[in-house]
Amino acid sequence: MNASYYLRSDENSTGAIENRIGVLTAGSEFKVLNKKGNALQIEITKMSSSSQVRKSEKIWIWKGNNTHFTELDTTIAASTEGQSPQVKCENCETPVTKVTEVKKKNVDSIQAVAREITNQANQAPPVASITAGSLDDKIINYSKSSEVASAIKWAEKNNGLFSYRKCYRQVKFALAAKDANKNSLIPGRFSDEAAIGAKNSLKNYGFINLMDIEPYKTQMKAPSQAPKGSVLVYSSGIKCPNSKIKDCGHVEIKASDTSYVSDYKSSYAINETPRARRFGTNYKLIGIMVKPMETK
Amino acid sequence: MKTYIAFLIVSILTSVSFTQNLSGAERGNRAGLSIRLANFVSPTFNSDLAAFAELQLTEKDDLELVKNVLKSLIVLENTPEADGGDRSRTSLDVIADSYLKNTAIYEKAIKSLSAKNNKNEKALKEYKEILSRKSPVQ
Repeated sequence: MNASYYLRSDENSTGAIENRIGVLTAGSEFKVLNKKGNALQIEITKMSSSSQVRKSEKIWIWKGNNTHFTELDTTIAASTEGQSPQVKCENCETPVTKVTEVKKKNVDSIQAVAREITNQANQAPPVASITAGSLDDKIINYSKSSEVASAIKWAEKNNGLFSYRKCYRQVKFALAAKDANKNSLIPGRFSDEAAIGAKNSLKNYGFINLMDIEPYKTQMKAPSQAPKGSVLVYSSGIKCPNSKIKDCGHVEIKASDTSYVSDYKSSYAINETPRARRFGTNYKLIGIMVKPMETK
Repeated sequence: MKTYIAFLIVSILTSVSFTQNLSGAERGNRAGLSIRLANFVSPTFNSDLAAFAELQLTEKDDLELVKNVLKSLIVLENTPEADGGDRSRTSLDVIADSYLKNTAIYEKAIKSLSAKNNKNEKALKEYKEILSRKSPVQ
């Protein structure tokens, strides 16, 4: 294997982050215990220094691209530093072989696309592998934290049927809502102007924008893909009334997959309402803000 | 001399009155806009509303148009989201500058609609508060 791969607690490899238990990077070796298609249940025999794995009964890896793996011997042990197998082309000039190859190529190309999609979901980016692996956990901790629960509870309790143009104020109040241990996501309400400013202002309180960080940057494009509890920031292109701010924007909290709250509650994110999907919208998602947490 | 001054005043008033009157084509455009805006599920609703917001309004010609726009906005927010409704009141941002430029006409339209229908009164009162806000949204 000359690439980094996510380690999973089961053989499912849908690209979801729930079953990720770590990252195995180049230089590691493992023994295959079980095989289900391209999913291999493994036992790690040598782990490179940059690898990271949580304790788990079973460790699975999705062996999608064969060129990333090299078998050390017939007992199917693999090394991550090996070379890809070389394939020699013999009798390449024979016409019969050529026709067969073209037919095979067409079938192969379809299969290759399908394989590539699965591989992309399983292969961890080499540079950001460790950061992403550990960040996944921190994001899950954030989503499950009592602070987020109390923010969502406050927001769902204090909203109207319709927006009254106070989305940012309500979101700030919600984020400042304290849990049972008197902890909150931000210490208190801060002064800011337009909702679009949340993208930068929340960074002062430990929030990060997942749309700035790989692999989330390429994976998350829509509010529906954002984790629970994330603060969604939109640009609107609409000028703030009586102000020099040319883009007011909008901000809301993703309370669940079917609930988005700000100064009003909706089953849809502002740019994913049936109306927005049908006629288009000025609102564009520019920030998925979360606060990575070590513990829940 | 008196006759000359009187003639001059009458000429000026006629000129001002003439320039304020809309041309036939312009009247037609506004009538079309009013009809299209009444259908809030029209694909051109957003662009029509933006075009309306750019208009220089006069009470004489545009009071009914403003009333129709406000009625459409009320229907829009009271319709379930699944049927094309919009509770975010984004449309108010689009007409905010128009309100500030033509406050008197809007106020008159709001007063007229509120008197006719008590149900609309609350929504219109909220619109007025939102539109007349001096500071940005937060």
